[in-house]
Amino acid sequence: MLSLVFASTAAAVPITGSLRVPSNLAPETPPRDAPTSPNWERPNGVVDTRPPRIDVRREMAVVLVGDLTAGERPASNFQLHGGALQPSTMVAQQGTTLRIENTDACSHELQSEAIEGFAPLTTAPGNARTVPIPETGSFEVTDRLYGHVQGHLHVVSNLVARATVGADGRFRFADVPPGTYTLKAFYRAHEVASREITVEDGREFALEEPVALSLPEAD
Amino acid sequence: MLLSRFWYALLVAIAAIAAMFFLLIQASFNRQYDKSLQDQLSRDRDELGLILRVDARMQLDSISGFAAHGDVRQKLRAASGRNAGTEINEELREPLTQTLTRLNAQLEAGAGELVFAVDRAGTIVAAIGVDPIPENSSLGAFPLVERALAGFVRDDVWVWNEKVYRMAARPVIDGGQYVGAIVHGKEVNNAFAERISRAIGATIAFYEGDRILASHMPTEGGFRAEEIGAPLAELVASEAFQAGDPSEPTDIAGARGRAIFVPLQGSAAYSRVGYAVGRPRTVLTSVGDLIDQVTLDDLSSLSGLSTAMLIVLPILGFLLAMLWVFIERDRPLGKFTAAALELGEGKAERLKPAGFSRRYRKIGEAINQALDRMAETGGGAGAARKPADLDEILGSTSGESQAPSFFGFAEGESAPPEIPSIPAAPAAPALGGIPKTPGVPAEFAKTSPDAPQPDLAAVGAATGKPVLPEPPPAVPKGPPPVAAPAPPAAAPNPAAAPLPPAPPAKKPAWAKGTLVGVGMDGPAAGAGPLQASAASSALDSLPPLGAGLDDDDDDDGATMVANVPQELLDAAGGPEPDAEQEVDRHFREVFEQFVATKKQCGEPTQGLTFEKFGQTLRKNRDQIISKHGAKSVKFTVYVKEGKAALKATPVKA
Repeated sequence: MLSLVFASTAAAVPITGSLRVPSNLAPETPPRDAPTSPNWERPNGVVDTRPPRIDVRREMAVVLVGDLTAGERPASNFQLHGGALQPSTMVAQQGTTLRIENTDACSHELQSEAIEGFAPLTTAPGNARTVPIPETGSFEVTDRLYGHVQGHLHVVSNLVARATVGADGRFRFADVPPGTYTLKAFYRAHEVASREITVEDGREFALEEPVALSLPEAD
Repeated sequence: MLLSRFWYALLVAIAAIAAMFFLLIQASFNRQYDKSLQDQLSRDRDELGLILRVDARMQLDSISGFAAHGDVRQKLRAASGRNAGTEINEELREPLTQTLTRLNAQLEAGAGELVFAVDRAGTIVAAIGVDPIPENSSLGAFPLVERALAGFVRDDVWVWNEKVYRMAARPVIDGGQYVGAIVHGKEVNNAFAERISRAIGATIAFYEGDRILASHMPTEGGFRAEEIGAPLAELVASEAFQAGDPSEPTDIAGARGRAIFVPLQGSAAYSRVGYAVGRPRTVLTSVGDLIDQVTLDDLSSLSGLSTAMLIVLPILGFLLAMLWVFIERDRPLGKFTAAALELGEGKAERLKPAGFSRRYRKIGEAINQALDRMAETGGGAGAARKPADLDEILGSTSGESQAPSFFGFAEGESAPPEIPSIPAAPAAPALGGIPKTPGVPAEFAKTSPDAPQPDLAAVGAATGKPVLPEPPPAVPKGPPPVAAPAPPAAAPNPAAAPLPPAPPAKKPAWAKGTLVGVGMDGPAAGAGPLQASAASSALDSLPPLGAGLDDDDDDDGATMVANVPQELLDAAGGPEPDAEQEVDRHFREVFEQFVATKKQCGEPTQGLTFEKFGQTLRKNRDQIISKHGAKSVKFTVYVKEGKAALKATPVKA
């Protein structure tokens, strides 16, 4: 059972919490192998190499869904940063416009076969790609130029807030109106956690226990 | 022409077999060449892959100096240690950029067009080839950079702003800690394609999707970029190609060449980046193409025996063909041509089809038939001559038949007139001797060969008998021909009117002195050439026809028969113990004279055979012998009214 501490205020309040991420969670291998493998990959021979780790900040999404008593639904704005989608696991409100800004120094050509109107188009550095989101569901987003760019878009009908996730798994919602919501966590194409919370007016909400993730079995 | 046709058929068969062998050789050559080309392209693919691998390794080694440079390490450590969220300080970026530029220039041919120095998080601290650098731009998510930041030395291929780069990345370690990475990229351009093309000796092209990024072709046997890129649109859409498998050898430039398309190793394979190797394809379509493939080494490989056979056998074949042509065409044609020329020059009266080959024999027979028809219908006055009718000429051989008038017997007479005795004829003159004219008194005889011919008209008037020059002595084969004596001038015989002089019938040009009734120079039927030539030479010594004969004689239309020498008459006195042979021999001589006379008169001789002629003569002879009680009968040939006629003379004991 979770014990929750509520902040007593009628105004929107922040909600904090953390995710319990397994230490051995490794990033998925690229779906294609042979053609993309390099000619050479060797340890530097000086310092031990670092084991691959999942980028929680990039690949985890924590959101609140439910009835919105005040304020507006959050916009669906994301980025291409560091050569990949930031975050790569995206949660957007149905009926809004998906906007992805390219902050890299190179062009990208994002696409999604399942979303109508999301054909590969070149997005130059500094520009943004916008696509309307008509229906709920889970959709894969890729880059025609870069195979490592893989994202997943979860479209929900009652998005209340989207959290900022840190590299250590800590997350924070800013200015959530009081009410009862469902906290959901997504990891790539999967919903890995769901918990109901009630936000009281004026009281900062903090999850004392980390949210356990029900990660899917590795293929 | 059987041999020639067989030889031609053989040559055609040999040519057909040679053409078949050429087609087989052509198909075999093309198949083996295609296989050889496929193997060559596979080797080119492996060799190019090895070149790219070695090039990547060399690039990784070349940027080790970057990662080890103190200035680079220091700047990256400072950048990695800044507070999260703060931007890169220009005091770090500017000097680091200069350092990178200087180090890159030192690589010379190995200098890169795209170089990054990133901090521990992958944020771009300094760069070459990117200006301006977007704020807080990062490369941390690129697998190349991510693995380099994890401590690996790695290469890759990137598509960066519509260009393709061969990338290499090394971690930057400072104080035992990863502080960042150096990312170095060399553009895939025409210079790079040229370097590889010269190393392999084939056309090289790098492509992204269906467009050619860079290419180079050798001086000979190369292909332009658009030619080698033509199959890309279809290839790129194929599932096998998208799965990263190399393509099969594909025709390019209208099947003048073949190319193999291979996806590149690295991240850029997602962008369908790869390379193509193309080589020209030789296809034999004609003999000229095969000859173009022959080299001096091939010629030197031919043994002396093979060369000799290639030269000798065709020459032998040609000579054999010429031999067949000569035997079956030229020689028969030459014989026929010579005979036709003789006919045209008047040296021959008819062709001898028996001496020609089958084809020309038919032509000869046709020409002879045409000559016969012309003789029937053309030349001289009078009605067309009909083929000889022995009965018409010799009279019916039946019992009711009456003695024909042309035998010299008048119709209605109860008894034949007395046949005057045949005057003694002078001895036959020897060849070249002084020709003696029979019945010519001594005072009229020639005394020397050069003496003028005696005036036969005067002799005839003096003797009362028309006289003709002595006939030339023919080569005797049996008794010489016997001519009936001239009818006595004192015995008027209305039936046997004075022989009219022979009309100026058509005489062949070779007749120097034609004596009617004598088997002479004109080749009589059955006569041999020796006889004719001997007769001709004898004729040459005689005075020309008509010499000594007045024209008045010819006006009467009488053709006189030469007097028969007395010794001949004595020799023909009566049946000898071999009488039948003598009779048969006489009949044959008369037949030959008769045929010759008919030809001289331009009469046709078709159907005139000795068997029928002799049968008729025999019957008439029997009739005359029985009727007149003669011992034998002598027949002579003369010309009557321009036609050959026969006269019978009973011979009493």
